Amino acid sequence: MDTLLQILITGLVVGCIYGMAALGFTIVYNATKLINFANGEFLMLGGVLLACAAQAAKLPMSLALLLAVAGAALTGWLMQRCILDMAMARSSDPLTLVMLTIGVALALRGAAALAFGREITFVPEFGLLPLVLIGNVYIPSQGLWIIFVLALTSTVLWYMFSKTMFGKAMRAASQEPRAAALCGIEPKRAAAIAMTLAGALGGLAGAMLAPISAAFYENGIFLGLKGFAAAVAGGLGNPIGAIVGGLLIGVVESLSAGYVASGFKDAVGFILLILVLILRPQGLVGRAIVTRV
Amino acid sequence: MSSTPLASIKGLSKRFGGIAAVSDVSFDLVAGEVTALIGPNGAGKTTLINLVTGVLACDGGTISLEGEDITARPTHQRGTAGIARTYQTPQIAHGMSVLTNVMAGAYRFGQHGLLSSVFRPWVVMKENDEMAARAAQCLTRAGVAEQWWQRLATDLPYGLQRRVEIARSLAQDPKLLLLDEPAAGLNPSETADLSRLLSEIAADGRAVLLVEHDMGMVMSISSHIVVVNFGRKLAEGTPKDIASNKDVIAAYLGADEAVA
Amino acid sequence: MTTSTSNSNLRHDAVILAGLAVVLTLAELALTSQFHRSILILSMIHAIAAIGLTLLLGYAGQVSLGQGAFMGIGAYAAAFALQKLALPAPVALVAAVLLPGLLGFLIARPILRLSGHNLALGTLALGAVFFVVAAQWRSVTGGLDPGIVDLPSLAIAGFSHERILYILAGISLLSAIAVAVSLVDGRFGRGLMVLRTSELVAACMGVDTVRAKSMVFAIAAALSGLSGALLALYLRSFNASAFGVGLSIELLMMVILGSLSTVWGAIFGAFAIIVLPNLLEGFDHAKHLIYGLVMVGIMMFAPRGLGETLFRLVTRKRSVA
Ligand SMILES: Nc1ncnc2c1ncn2[C@@H]1O[C@H](COP(=O)(O)OP(=O)(O)O)[C@@H](O)[C@H]1O
Ligand SMILES: [Mg+2]
Repeated sequence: MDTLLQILITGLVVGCIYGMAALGFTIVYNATKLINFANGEFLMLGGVLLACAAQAAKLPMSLALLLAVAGAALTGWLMQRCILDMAMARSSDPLTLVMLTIGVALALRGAAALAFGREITFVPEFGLLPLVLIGNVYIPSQGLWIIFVLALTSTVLWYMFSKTMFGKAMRAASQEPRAAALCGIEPKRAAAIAMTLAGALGGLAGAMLAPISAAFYENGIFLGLKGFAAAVAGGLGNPIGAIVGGLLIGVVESLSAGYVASGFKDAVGFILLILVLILRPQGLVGRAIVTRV
Repeated sequence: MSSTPLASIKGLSKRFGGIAAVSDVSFDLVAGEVTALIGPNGAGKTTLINLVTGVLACDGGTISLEGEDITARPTHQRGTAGIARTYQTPQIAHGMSVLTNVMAGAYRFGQHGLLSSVFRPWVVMKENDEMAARAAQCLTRAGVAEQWWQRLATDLPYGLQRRVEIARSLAQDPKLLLLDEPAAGLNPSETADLSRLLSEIAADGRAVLLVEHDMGMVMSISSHIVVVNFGRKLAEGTPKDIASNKDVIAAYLGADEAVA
Repeated sequence: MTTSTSNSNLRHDAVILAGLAVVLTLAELALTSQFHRSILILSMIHAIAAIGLTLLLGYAGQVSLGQGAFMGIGAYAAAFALQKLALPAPVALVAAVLLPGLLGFLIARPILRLSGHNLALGTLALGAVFFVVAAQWRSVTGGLDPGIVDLPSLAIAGFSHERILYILAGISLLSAIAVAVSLVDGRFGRGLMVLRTSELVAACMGVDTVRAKSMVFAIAAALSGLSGALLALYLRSFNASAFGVGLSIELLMMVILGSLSTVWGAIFGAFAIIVLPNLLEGFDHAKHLIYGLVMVGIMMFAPRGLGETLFRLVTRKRSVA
């Protein structure tokens, strides 16, 4: 029983990270209908930047975290402004855009390897929060941080998107560009804001994860895929679904690591992604979408 | 004057969520005749073509070709059986020349698939020549001059793309040809050419279903007219019957008001 | 009917193929440097997989970010046949074509229900699953460490291992090209090209689109398998990290560096991707960055392939397939 609870908690903590990755992916998808294969690299950047600022530059953790988030957000903004805006104007072929974001992902990975090296870097926990023990089950201090941060960011985002004029305009941007433009949010601006948000979210998630699983320039591929898996499982475009999907994938992974074989845990999320795509493309919770012929 | 129909549509129905796009529509298609299917926008004409070609599965009713029930057959088998179509917006393949596009239309006459391609390329080369000859005939018939044949099909002006699409459907040597608003976007002289072409195609002994808004064209070339509105068959008869049918006039006036 | 233009590209392709065969033979005879020979061998091997991806992506319009996995399956199948079953190398090669081809055919139907970005996601995930399994299934793959080691040398009768591999890779490449160009020349190829623009149109013409797509997927997988098996035979030792997501992306790079409209582009692309890291000092450090930037550039300015676009600029011809 205790083992099961422990496994569930470990899964939920990692699931929060996947949920945040999926959330960034969803915000971009809702604004521009783009599937951003570079989304995982935001998480990688968050981790690597944090490691660099905290370890190499010896900055205080809070400042380092801020730098990591800002760096990833800036990357998102630049990517949209310098590359995607132009590409989207030139071509709307989904395959071209997909390959374009794969190119961006490669470039980011390569740039990170050049700038910060190819070593796996360990980052200390944030501290401050205690390690909580309930019976024989414990929640690590970093885990508490992660749960706390996910709760906070998702509440802020929920408020922003559903209660403010800005959020409504953002949501309208891809469906009703003219209405959104009237509120001062043109499609291009919405796209830039969305990608910046996704960068910030990814950077934050990657930085929060770094003390648990180390920072490495190649982390982006798997983290990105798991973020996709979460977003797709929750129903593409559904932010609440994205978080639920993230938690689900985290828990399933953790369960399979605990009860099947730890080495295969990465495969579980990917298999789930393939199955959901094929069998329930509307997500595990969503309703069927009718496509027009 | 009635012969046995080439194809029969009986009680065909299709719903999209709450909308009954086609409900309980029946009519026959006779070889050698142009049958027109008319009705206001959104009446369900394109949906009906999609049902007959199997692009959409119907919720009820049957479709038969030469006495055989094909309702459950997949789209490609209907294509192979001799049902060809054109599209409301021309669907020309990218990255292929005009001639290759039309050659692709003759797919069902190829004997040689994947294995022959690899192990007996010379028979495939011979087949390519035959298909090119067939394509050339169809292009000439559809009025696409030879100077265009080696151009990228998507580079052609709109009116010519429509002709290429008709040539491609002819290369399929269809028994039943379904045309979705072929005159849309054409000027009067092009429309006149098209009318002549369609009459000739029917005179080959094919059944032609013409979905069209140009009433002059419909009245002049069709032997039979089916009118649909809100997915239901409103009337059916010769052009003369239809021109004087009160329901039809009301539906069209109503539709015009709605558009205006 | 125009008599000047032929309705088949095959004659034209056969001439280039013969030319390539001559060049490869002369190169083998003239090469003295082990290093140059190894570059040519690796280029030929990768070109085989890239040709498969050209058929799939360029002709049928179906993206795959998991081709590296099929190369891996071919490599492990060959290794298994050689080491565990003690079969001769030619049999191992055949097994390495059949197994991934069959797997590809079986996977194709479910996976090709996806299209566009979902297919990209699905195949990427498939490749990642393969990597995890290959790294963990130690009894067959040897895991990441040691992986597969000490495959037998193929040296016989005065021919060195490298020479034999050069010949094997050369023959395989020439056959792969012959298969690919004849495949796309007939009605099957035309059906694929229509399908690339619209599956609906292809189906209404009588093309069994599901079958056609599955066939191409299986052929691409089989060619990848052949390529992976040759790579395994040549290197004699490898582990799962050779067949990760990175390899799939490199194969994609080879195709878009060359051309999406002709099989020949894959050879150019494979050569470029293999030669550059070996020729330029320090390239490996900046490899990902450069690949990424090049890919972005190509997708922006030459989405049908860099080689093809340059070729057309030089000859001022519009491509007509
Ligand atoms: N794939 C589809 N999904 C949902 N509704 C559809 C679809 N196709 C057509 N419709 C609806 O069915 C009705 C008939 O459409 P259509 O057949 O295109 O009409 P027409 O061709 O006569 O103008 C319309 O209300 C249209 O909105
Ligand atoms: Mg219509």
